[in-house]
Amino acid sequence: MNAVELINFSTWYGPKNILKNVNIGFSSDAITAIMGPSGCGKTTMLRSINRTAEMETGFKWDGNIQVLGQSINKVKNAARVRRQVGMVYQTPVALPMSIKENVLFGPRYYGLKGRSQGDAIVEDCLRKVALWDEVKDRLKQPASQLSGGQKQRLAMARVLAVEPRVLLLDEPCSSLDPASTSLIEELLMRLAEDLSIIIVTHNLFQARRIADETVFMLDGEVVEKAPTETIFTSPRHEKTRGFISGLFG
Amino acid sequence: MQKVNPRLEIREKVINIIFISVALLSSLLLLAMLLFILRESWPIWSQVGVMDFLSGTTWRPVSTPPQFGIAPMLLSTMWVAGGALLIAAPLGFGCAIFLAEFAPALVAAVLRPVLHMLTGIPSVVYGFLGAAVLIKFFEIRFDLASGESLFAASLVLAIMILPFITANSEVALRSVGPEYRDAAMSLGVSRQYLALRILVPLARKGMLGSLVLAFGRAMGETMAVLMVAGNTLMLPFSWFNKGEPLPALIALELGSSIPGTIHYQALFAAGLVLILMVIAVNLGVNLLLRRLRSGVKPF
Amino acid sequence: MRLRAITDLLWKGFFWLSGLFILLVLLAIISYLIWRGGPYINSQFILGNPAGTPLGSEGGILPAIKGTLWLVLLALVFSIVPGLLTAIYLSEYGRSGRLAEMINLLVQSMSGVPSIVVGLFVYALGVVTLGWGISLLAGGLALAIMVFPVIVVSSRDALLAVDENYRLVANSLGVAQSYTLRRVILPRAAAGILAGILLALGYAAGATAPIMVTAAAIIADSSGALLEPVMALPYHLYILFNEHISMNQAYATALVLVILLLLLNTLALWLHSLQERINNR
Repeated sequence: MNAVELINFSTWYGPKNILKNVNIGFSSDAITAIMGPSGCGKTTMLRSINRTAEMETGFKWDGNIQVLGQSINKVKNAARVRRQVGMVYQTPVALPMSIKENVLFGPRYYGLKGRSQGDAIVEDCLRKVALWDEVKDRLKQPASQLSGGQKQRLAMARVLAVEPRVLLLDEPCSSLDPASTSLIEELLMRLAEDLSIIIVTHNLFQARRIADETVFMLDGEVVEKAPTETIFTSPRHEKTRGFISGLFG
Repeated sequence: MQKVNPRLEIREKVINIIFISVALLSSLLLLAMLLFILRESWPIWSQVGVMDFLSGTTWRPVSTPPQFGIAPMLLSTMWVAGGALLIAAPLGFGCAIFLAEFAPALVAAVLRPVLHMLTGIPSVVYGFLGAAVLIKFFEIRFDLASGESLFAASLVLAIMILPFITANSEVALRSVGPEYRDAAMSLGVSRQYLALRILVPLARKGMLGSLVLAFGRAMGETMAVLMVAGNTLMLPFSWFNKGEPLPALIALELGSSIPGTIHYQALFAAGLVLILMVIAVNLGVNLLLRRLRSGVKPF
Repeated sequence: MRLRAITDLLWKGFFWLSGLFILLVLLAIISYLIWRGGPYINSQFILGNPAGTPLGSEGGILPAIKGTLWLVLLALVFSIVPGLLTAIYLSEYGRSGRLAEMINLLVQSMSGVPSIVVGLFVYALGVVTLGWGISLLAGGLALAIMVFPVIVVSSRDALLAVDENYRLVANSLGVAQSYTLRRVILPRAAAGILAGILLALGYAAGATAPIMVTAAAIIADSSGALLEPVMALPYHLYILFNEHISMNQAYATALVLVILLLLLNTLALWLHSLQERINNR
């Protein structure tokens, strides 16, 4: 079963039609990359799946989005959906609290059973994102002291702590140095064993490195979706070919 | 879908309702005040009539028959506030331009808190100093029996509204795009020329807005004018006459009026006129500011 | 060319003088008050009761200080919770809906209502209709209505200044808005909110007109009884001067009032700049 499916899904910001009748499925336990020029709707798609797009004024949608077989956009309480569908944003953001509290922010809301459960969650999630060794001696210090790459890994730990089934990432490495980027890419490949991952990226090398499938979007529509190697070596669509060669050229 | 505690959801809904209700009820307070005052003053409107009340020049609430004309008070209010604006505007604008263009960082760092502190001094202290110092000075210098006048009130009010004019005007000046400054500077004109010929015209809506806001404030000020304006009920013929603006009238006579009498109701009518005038002025500003670039905030 | 140079100089002089004028005004006010009132401030003045003939020409102003404290306390008690809740609604829940626009407009208009009119309203409602008489309760209510818009606007602005990214990230984790509010937004904006409350406090402490008609008496105990009239610093100053009781006591009272307010204002300014530093971190 597909982890995420969009069925006849369209969105508008005011009068502007952003996503135009999109139909697409994202495989489970795999990494799917979304590529396309600026303004093609990739971020809007992600934000529609985790239901933060509606926080903007003037946002309207039509159609259906299914996550793990259940329709999510008609659910009244968006918070429920957001727990299932974790999102990491482009700008590394550390909540204004300690490293430990950052990770426990979600779990505390749902209720922790005692300190030991909290400590276990913190260690588990920080290990998963390969941050544990770097911060284990300063868990109580403000997370604002971390570097960009560390903040981004912290953001992923924070999201993992609420145990989502799907992980969305919006150009997570665009403001990071190559060392941090490759750390995060390794992470994602490990996480893909239990999670379905959808990543928007401008970096076609990154897509080739980590994505099982790649989607090309243009102007609010899905142009092509195929296994990553295929899309780069023998894309079916004229427009896809144009975009890819532009990236190389 | 993962199970979520339904209690959390209900709690969230309740919290939402609480926020909305409190916000709504509190802001409806303004309407409640207006309606209440309207109701208390209704007999005046029906018996004396709007025109007679506003234009009548005699205020004798306890004589027989009682007369209710607030023209002298209206005139005093306008004169005092207008005069304050006349005195404060050049200084306020000058100081705003100073802060926006000329003040070295150190001087500005001192001047801004000073402006803030001036707004923190209570109006009764301004009135007291005005009465104790300014009035005495007039009496001695010009050999007057009594130095109180609308002019003195305007002077005191001018000092009180000056910081507001400066602060709002500075914000307006600063929000002029840097491209204008760059263009002018590259032509080699002086800062003064730039300020007067380019920045002020571009910022004029915000600066005018600051004047209108200050005018509204000056109209509603009670203590400072009460202590220096002279408080006579006669129609003032010049700035140097004594007068009694509307707020002073209400403050002085409310305690001695008997609730339920026509005198009492007339004071409410005066209050209604005052609040409607100020609201009209404020609404005017709001509409004006709506047309401006966003982000112009006082203080 | 020479004409241009001369006018440039004149204008520059005018701008500088305007700035210096403001400085001079504040210095003049403070130093004059210290000069005329300073000698009469001592522990007897702060802690003693009015004495002498006429009453108030000697002795102290303790009941006035107590009365002002009670009035301000009541004002804050009545206005902080509604004010904060309204501000939170405007910054977190309403944002740009029609309802929020209307509430914004209403609150903004309220800040323009002359304080004497607020006094008028509470006089009719509390003093007369509800039968409280000239009382601490009526004065507290009047002051609360007066400072409510100040608290709403300053708190709303402090909340809106919190980085939007925090809300986005927190909400993406599936937590409720009130949780994010409690754990992230409010702590982050706390300094700014506190600054606004201090300003409101100062505004209430110095207001004369509304309490003149609802709560103040020339002589009173100010023991905190809700339905009794109270003395208050600003009104006491007015009476000392207006009834020609004592110029020296008047100057001293004015000085106490100004020092109190300047301290509050300075503290509020410091908190405000602290908030700015926090926001820029």
